[in-house]
Amino acid sequence: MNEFVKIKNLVKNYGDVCAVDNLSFSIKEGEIFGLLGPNGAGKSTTINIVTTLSEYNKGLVEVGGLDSVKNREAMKKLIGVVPQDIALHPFLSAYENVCFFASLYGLGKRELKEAAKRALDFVGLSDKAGLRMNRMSGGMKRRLNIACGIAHSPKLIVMDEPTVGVDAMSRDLILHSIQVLSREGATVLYTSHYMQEVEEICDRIAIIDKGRMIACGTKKELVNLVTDRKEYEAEVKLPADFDKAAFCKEVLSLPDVKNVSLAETEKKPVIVVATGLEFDALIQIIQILQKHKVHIQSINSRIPSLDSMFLTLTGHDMQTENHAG
Amino acid sequence: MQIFLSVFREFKRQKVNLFFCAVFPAVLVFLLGTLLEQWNISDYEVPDIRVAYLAKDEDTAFIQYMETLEEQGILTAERVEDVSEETVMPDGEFAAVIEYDAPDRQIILHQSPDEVINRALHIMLQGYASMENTATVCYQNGALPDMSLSNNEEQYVIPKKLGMERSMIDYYAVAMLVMILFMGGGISGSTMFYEYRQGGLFNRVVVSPANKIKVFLWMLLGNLPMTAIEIGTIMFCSTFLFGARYCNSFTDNLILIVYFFVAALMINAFGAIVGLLVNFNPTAIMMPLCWIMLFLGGSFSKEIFIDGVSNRMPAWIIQQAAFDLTLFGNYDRVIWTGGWMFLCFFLFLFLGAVLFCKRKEK
Repeated sequence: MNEFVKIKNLVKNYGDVCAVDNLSFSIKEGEIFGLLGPNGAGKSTTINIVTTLSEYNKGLVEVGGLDSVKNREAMKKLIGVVPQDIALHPFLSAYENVCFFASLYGLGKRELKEAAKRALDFVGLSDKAGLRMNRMSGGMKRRLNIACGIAHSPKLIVMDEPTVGVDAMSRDLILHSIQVLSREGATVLYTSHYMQEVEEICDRIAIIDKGRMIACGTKKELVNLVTDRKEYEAEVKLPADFDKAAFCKEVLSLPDVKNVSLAETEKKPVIVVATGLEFDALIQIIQILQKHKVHIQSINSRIPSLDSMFLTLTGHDMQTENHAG
Repeated sequence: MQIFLSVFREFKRQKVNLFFCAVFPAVLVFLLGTLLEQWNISDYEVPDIRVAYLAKDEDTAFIQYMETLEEQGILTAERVEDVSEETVMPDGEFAAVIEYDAPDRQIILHQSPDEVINRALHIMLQGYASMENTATVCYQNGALPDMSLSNNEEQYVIPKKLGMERSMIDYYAVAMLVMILFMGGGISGSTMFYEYRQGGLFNRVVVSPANKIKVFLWMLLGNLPMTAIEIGTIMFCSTFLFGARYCNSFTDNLILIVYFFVAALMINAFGAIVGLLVNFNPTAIMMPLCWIMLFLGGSFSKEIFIDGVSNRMPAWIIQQAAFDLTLFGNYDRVIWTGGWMFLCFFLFLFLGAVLFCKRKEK
């Protein structure tokens, strides 16, 4: 896949404060790229620079091979922006709102009609096309906010926390629609405070803090940076004749299993199996447990979350930063 | 066009706009019209005047003049032999006493406490003095005035109405239009962009590839129907309810409307620039600015004129050019002022577009 967005040695200063410090990353065509960081990390500034809303002091920004300085206007045509705040005309209907924003991208009357219909259909609002924005629920407004950003079929969609304050159903719909957009060939630059969302939909993630890039890669690559193992934890009921040594020997004989231990939490026995990150033979562990007549009550896998990765990489917790911010 | 339609739709769907566009100007016209309608009718009626007069040396011309006035029913005049304290007393038999001293040609008017009577008598006596002066000049030039056509029965002053009557409502109708242009157009122009920024729509428009001059222009045009409705309401109500007259011909009225349209464009654009520049509600600037400008420019009262200040106020300049057209059918000032306003509009348009691009919300 080609690099659709290229950011190289980007620097942005606000007086003496360096908001973006030598930031470099690229996004491949059709990829969903997550930008993760606490408040003040520089992600909004980066997004503003990519969308041409902010100028920058140094570096290079290219979208679709077009330079943001030399080909600014042409570059704008490739981008669709879904802002964090709901930026819509409150007294216009859903259809009129979409038409208004799409018309700013030079769509003709006929194209507008089709684009608006398609965009509303895409976010599940086609039956609410005539409803005024100020009469919509929060979730519907969010979806309309997205429709207005994608109606002109942009090649790059920049989404700044599009799921803030929406109900679970609307959130799932939004996340699903982002994945559909990506499958249809659009490149997505996505920011969110919700790590789970980023984990769920992003192909690659960049963690930035204090304007600097901390880490960038797929989730697996990021996990590799902080640990080389994952753990399976099974809460069990052991038979009276349980042979611990034989059990451990059998489990350890499985490929990529690093350690087996039997612990007791709140008087309940817990078996913990540590494996390599590539391990995917959980079923075999379960078969060994059954063979030894161990009754499994629950089983969980423990892979480092983005939260814990962030903590390890930056030395501070992102949620705490966000709340403090 | 979508921008124009969107701005217009948003405007017409807000009930508060309906109030400010149609109800408020109508109420303004109704209040001012009712007030000015009374203003045109004199509060004072000249009462029956009963005077005593003393003609020293039996001056026949003066006696004849007073008798003629009495015959015509203008006043009741009684000749007296002397002026006593009783006759000149305010609560006496006569409203006033006139003393005519023929040799000195001096008329002494012992005034009434009623100023209306005093003014009426003063005019009558001034008339006599002018007549006497004319006769003296004729006599000195060796020609006596020909009085053969004199006929007291015939009325020589024939009242006739002019083709166009002007009243106070005509002044204030134009002044109200200027008021609405500034207060309505200026403030709505400024708040439109302020609300755009507040609502987060501004950045969304800025990041689009649309031509910013076009966007700015269409947004301004979208705001104009509001001003047009306001102007229309004032013109309609003042004309049909209070008989206000603008121009003498349909063409001139059309020119006046175009003139006010250009003024509205310029004022809207100016308001928009204020709305783009300040970070707080621009009404806080526009409202006092418009009030001061309209007050000093004589829109609130035609009595207010401070030389060197009033005639530099945009409201005054726009108003005076409109008066030149409505009262005298003179186009010159309207064309000049309209031309300047058009130039200013283009300047504001360009400036607004630059600000539109430069302005970024955090």
